[in-house]
Amino acid sequence: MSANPAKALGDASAFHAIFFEEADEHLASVESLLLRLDPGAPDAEALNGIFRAVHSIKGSAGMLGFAEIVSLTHVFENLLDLLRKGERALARPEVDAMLRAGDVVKSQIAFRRGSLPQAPDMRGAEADLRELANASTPAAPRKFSVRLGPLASPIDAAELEMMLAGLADMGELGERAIDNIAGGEVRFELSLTGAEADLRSVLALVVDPTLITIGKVAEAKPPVNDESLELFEAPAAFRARRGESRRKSEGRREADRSAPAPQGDASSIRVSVEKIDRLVNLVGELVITEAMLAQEHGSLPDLSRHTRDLQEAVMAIRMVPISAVFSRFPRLVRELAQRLGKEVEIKTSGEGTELDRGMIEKITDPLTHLVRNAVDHGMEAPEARIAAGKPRAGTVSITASQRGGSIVIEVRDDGRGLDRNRILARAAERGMNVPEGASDREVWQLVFEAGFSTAEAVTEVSGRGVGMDVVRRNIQSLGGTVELASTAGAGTTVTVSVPLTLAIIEAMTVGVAGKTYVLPLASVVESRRVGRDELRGIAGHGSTLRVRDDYLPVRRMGESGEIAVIVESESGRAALMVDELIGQQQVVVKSLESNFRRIPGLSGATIMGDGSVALILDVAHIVSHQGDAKCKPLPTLQ
Amino acid sequence: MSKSILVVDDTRSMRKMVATVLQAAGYSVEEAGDGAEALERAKTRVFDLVVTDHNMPRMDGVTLVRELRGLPEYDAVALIVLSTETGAELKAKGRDAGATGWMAKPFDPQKMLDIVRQFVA
Repeated sequence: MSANPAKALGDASAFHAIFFEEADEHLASVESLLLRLDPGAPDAEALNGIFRAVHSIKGSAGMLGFAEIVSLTHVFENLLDLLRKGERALARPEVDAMLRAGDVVKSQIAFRRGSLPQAPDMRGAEADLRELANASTPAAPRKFSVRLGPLASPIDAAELEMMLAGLADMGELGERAIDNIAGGEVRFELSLTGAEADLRSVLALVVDPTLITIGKVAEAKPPVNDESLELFEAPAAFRARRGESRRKSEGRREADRSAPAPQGDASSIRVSVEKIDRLVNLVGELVITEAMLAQEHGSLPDLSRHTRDLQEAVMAIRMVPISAVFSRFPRLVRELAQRLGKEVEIKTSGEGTELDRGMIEKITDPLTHLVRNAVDHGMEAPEARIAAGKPRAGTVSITASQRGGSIVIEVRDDGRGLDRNRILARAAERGMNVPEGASDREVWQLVFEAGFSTAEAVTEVSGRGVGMDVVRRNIQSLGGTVELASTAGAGTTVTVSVPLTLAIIEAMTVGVAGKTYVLPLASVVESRRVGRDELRGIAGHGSTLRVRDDYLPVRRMGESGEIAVIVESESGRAALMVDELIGQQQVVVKSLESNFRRIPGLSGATIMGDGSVALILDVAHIVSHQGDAKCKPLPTLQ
Repeated sequence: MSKSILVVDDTRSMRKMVATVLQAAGYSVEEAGDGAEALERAKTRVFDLVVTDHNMPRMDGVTLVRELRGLPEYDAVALIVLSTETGAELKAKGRDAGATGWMAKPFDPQKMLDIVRQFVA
């Protein structure tokens, strides 16, 4: 091995970021492949994939001087090599040891990256792998050449014979030259797995230790000029041959050059998210420009179509398959089930469904929560399942599909289902009003109320307090919906639907005091004209509007306004008074923070078809800031 | 015009390291992520030298060497395998396929440059 490749590379840290990112990807794929491995009949391609990933990490770690990673991945690779060659059967302990090793490499990388204060202890994981790898493979035998002598006197023939026979039992005895006389020598070659010291101590039984010479015999190898480099052709010979070959092929090459070279395969490239976001922004501008042109000069069908196509194509670049989220679930379910003493299988489908990168980040937590719920609360213990005539192992299936502009994700379990009576009892306890004979659907809705939890015991897994209400709020804040269906004894299905992207929203535009404001359509419940007499003042609450059984706080936008838009956010509902409803349309969301500065009450801005800027109202902020409800002017750009 | 080298490795960080070392020495470098992609590229232009990893998806390095040697244009182009695997059997396969040399990873950049210089005219 060369002195220190990391040093010779110059600024090796320039490669660190690439290596970290790449290693994370490799480790994620190792994990997902490991979780899918069937211990009985491991898929050869999967094992090869794991091997390659680990091998890649080891290679680069070696170049960058990350010795701990090299050492662990090396043993990891040894075990994998045995597995893929079928020299060792794959069982649960192997999978577990490899998963753990993957985790340790992950933390080691986190440490190297600076996001972990302390280096993880890699010894345990390494020892486990080593043990599994060694259990089946004896160390490779080594070949020794032994010389005993010069002998002061001949060795007793019977003793020598016995010793050689004994050695033949230990290993493989090769060529021997026995000159068993005074001044002579006994020489032989021997392959065995033991250490040189062991061999020495055996021989010392027969001859004086000072007469023993043991040499290692190098394995037969073609001559090498260097351990790390082997040339199959000498440079000089190569150059001579090339000169010859060039002359011969001169004519042919000339002909080749005149033909246009075909382009290579389109392969994938990596682009930073910022570059893509810039592209998205620019296309957003273009969409606006197109709308302005259309307003001034009448519609230009071609331009409009091309603009929309371009917009779609650019948005598609930001799309990431949902497998990025799904891939974490097999492990989550496996570990949860283990911890809870349940048997749960997980099935995923539609992993290829794509959605906006920003959306992926935001739905991960709510989905994780749903999957956790399904295993923790939904699934029964194996005995209970058998007693109910169901298979011992439960199934959680997670599917994703695109329906129009939305992605629909379903988390389904075949567990015990929701218990209507318990939910009703819990609702009564909490003083909720539930009409007699409410439909199941209405009863299930109660589960989404804040602080509502029917889990009999607070479990370590799902905890207390953070429940379905949080899931619903998170999903709603993305402009999505959550629905729940359940059949007692047969299971529960939660259906989450979110828009494809966060960069464009369906919006309602409203007019207040001659200005246009934008409300995300997802937060608008209804709108209607109200008479002044419908508004009531309630002490300490400002004015309120009665909507069926509820009194909603009124947010007055300026002086006038006879139209109430009922908006809903995670903190509740409110009636927003506006002058006019302008319409519904898609708007391209622009961040105020990055273009201007953050303004409380506004979640962004957009540019309207006429080129004017319209502000997007932050519904959550408007609903929750109650104190000054009387005459709070709308935020504006100064 | 600077000499062109095709660097083939499925590990992006490794590929970048090799490419960077060669670029710093003034070579013009193209990269391919596996043997199959490398073969396609090699058919569109003739490189002055190829440095390839062995263990890669789709097509491994030794197979790439064999395929390239089948192309008349690559009859006299040095093909160097750069791999963490250094088993005698595998190396022999590489030699039979037509590899010019076999270098072990982790590699010493200076040594790699020395070799490359000798084989790129």
